[in-house]
Amino acid sequence: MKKLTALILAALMVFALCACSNGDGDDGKTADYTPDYGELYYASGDAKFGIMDPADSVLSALGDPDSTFESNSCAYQGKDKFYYYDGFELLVNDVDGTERVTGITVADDTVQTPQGVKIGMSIDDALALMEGMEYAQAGDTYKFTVGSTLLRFQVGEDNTIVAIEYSVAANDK
Amino acid sequence: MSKKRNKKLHITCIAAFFVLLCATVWLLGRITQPKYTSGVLEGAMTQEYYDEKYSHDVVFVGDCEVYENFSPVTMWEERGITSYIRGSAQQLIWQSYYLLEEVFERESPKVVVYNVQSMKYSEPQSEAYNRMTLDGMPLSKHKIDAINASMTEDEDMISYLIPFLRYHSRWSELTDDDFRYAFSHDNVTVAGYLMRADVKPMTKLPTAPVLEDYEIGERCWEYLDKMRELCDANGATLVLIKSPSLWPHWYEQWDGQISAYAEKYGLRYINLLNVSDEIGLDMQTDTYDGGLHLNIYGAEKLSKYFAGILSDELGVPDRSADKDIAADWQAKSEAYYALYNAQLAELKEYGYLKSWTLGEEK
Repeated sequence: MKKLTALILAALMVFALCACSNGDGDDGKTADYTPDYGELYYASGDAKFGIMDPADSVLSALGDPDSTFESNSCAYQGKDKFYYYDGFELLVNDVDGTERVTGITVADDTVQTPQGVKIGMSIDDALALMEGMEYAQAGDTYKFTVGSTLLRFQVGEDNTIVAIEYSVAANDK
Repeated sequence: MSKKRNKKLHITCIAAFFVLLCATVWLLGRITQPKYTSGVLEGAMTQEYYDEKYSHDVVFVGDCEVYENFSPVTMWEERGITSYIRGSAQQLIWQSYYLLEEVFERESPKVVVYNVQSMKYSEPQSEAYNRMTLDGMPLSKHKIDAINASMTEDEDMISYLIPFLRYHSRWSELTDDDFRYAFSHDNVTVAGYLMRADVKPMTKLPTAPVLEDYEIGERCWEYLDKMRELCDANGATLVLIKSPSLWPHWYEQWDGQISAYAEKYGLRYINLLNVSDEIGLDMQTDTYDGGLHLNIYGAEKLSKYFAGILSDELGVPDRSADKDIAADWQAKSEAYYALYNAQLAELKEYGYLKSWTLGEEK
């Protein structure tokens, strides 16, 4: 009978261990996270900001957007919030409980990056303005990475810039 | 008591214990598994297909761009077409394939419609979406293959087969619904269509993000090949569509690759974004979330248009003369209009759909 009891206890222990190993783990809150975009920040008026900055402080510095767009993913598994300003767009996501800037897109040629790069400029001129920052080229895209920030210039057939986008480096897929 | 008899008793006790343990774990799994009866309804969709009494001439597979945008009841009313949408949230192409394998085991649709939006993903994406698609499938080789193809790095097969291992932590948040629907379910769709009767006009869409690579992944082509071959083997016509949802952005580079594939294999590819005006879609009235998904008004317009293609160009028959099938669709129509009226009533009372959303879309 002792053997039987031991077997039953062993089975229960194995099951309990299996069950616990699948529990929801630590949420990994990022409230204390410090953005590390270095020179790859964006500026509008007096506001300077970058990827992973807390959205509330950035939005407060920028003032009311021209308009907004919210994109719910299917079945409420996340929400992309877009804020439109003159010449650029902000993408805000919930990152482990804190709303953060996860994307900055230059929308037209009325604005430029702090280094002076703008849509319609030749890529050679743009690279010169980036003052020797290291970059990687993949097809028609030029990528600069600092910390968790990725800045991409996409060029068209005439080698002029058609898109400028800051995003989270981990999202570089 | 003899030693032999004692041993026999031990074996019986051990067997009884394990049977009891398995039954308990199974029961707890049924109770703790999410039921998706309100708010997030998408997880309840997969299981509803197995309740269908009659076969379908058309089966749709794909993501939200099928189950939100096409209304089988409208296609029935327009052309007597019997159809079902085997859609689920962010359904990946390998999931579509295995769901389709399961379909062909049960019935012989003449046309299979696959929405190509999901070909943007060539890797498993999210456990939450995987669960919503896969948990509702009965245990079978198709389910196991689908799980194997879908699991993200942090997932394991055993927790799909024994749901209690995954959901035991829900014990503290169980509601009455978890017990009420442990062994039954109420349908959240009508023939796979997830209705929304609210309206949120489209404003300005974001700039399309820059992509590192516009090539559709090898894994997607591999499963599209398998889907095409599966349809061929079962005498079904595979039709590729891009639903007319305006966001997320559908890149012309992707469109070119799908068009080339369709041309190579003699498939029909219909990019419905290109015929939105012909369909009569108005994104000020026909979407409930600013252009991502169609509401019932948009879905009905699209379904009338698409029923014409299915009937006139692909030869899908009119089954309205069959009394049994007509009675089944009459019941579906009644459920459809009852659901529509219930949503209109909530919109009138609350200004938003309280029972079909998380309650935040005022």
